[in-house]
Amino acid sequence: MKVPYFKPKPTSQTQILLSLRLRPVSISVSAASTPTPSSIQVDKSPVSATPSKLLPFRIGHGFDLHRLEPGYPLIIGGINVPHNRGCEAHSDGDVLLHCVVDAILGALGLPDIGQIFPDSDPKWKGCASSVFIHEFVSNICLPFSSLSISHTTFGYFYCTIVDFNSIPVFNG
Amino acid sequence: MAASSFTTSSILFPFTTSSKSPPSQLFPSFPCKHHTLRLRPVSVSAASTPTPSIQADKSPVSATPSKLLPFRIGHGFDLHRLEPGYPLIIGGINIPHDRGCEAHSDGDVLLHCVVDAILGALGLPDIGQIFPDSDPKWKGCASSVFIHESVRLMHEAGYEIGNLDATLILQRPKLSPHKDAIKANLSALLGVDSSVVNIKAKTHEKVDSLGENRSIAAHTVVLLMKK
Repeated sequence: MKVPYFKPKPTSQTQILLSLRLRPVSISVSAASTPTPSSIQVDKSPVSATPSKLLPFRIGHGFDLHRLEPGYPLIIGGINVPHNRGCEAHSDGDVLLHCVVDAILGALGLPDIGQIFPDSDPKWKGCASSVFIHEFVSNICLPFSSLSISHTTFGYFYCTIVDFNSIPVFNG
Repeated sequence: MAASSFTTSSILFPFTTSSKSPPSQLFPSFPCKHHTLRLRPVSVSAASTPTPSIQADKSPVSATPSKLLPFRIGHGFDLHRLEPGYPLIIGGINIPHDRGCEAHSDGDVLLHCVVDAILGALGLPDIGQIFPDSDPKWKGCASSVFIHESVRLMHEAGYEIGNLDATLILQRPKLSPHKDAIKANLSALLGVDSSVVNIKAKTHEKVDSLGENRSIAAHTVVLLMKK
């Protein structure tokens, strides 16, 4: 009897492409650099020792996957979605918020969510994923970027959510 | 090994590409045989009038508006099967592991999808079309050759890299010890400062071929800026 090559297991997979628009108010970089004015002036972008910090735009990507198991709530984007199974995870297993965090961290060149909120730290066990967003925006994102929250615009989110449970089994 | 250019026949580009190869050389008429799934969510054709997703305040209007976009974004994806007896090369760095990628070139998933992201941002054919598996010239070829060619095309189009973010998906081995080396090498290949490049790695929660250590995958997004 042939063993199916692809035997899908119920999972929830999220991929997000984030275009993050930053308007720097004040940037603490080397004295030799010239800060970017608040308006976007591509043609006159200054040359400095750390050019990436002066970009008017940055792009990031996030990916997350959690196994679906019976007896757990399915939380996506902070919303409890009615379903017969949910994500078993160290936190609340919200794949969407997890990879939003990773996309923003990636755009800023910072360590990923697993390094900042490690599974080995009991402080984050069972933690709602919205805490991760609040935590890094207030304590990680702003100090690093010297940005005022009112001047940060999340430009575009391209999000794909795949539930393998709905993919038919390949009988090849 | 010198990377050869490709001809622009039968494909419309928003800009002129110089070619050293004879004009009679064509792309293969048959569809390229891909061993991996490649996604190209970003595409710009010269014939159409694309709507820029990012509205610059003074974006110029011209006959070929895509040519003058101040910013472009691209996405790349690549997946390779892991087999015993092959080296595992990621971002040009040889990672110690009991298995590696079986591929036509050196099977470097990260460099492959970086190339695809840059080519996608420029609206050019993807890596499988420019460096086809059917061409023995590229067999066993180091993927850095593909990077150099795509960087050359990028500069030729008048763009440079703003920033790049990559996500590697693999169950084993742990990439943390090698992340700095991969990042430094990729930055050097692209000719950019290392702060421009970001790399992260995720497991696949032991689910399907990625989680069972039978394959490795990578996603890359890139932001290009007009010079």
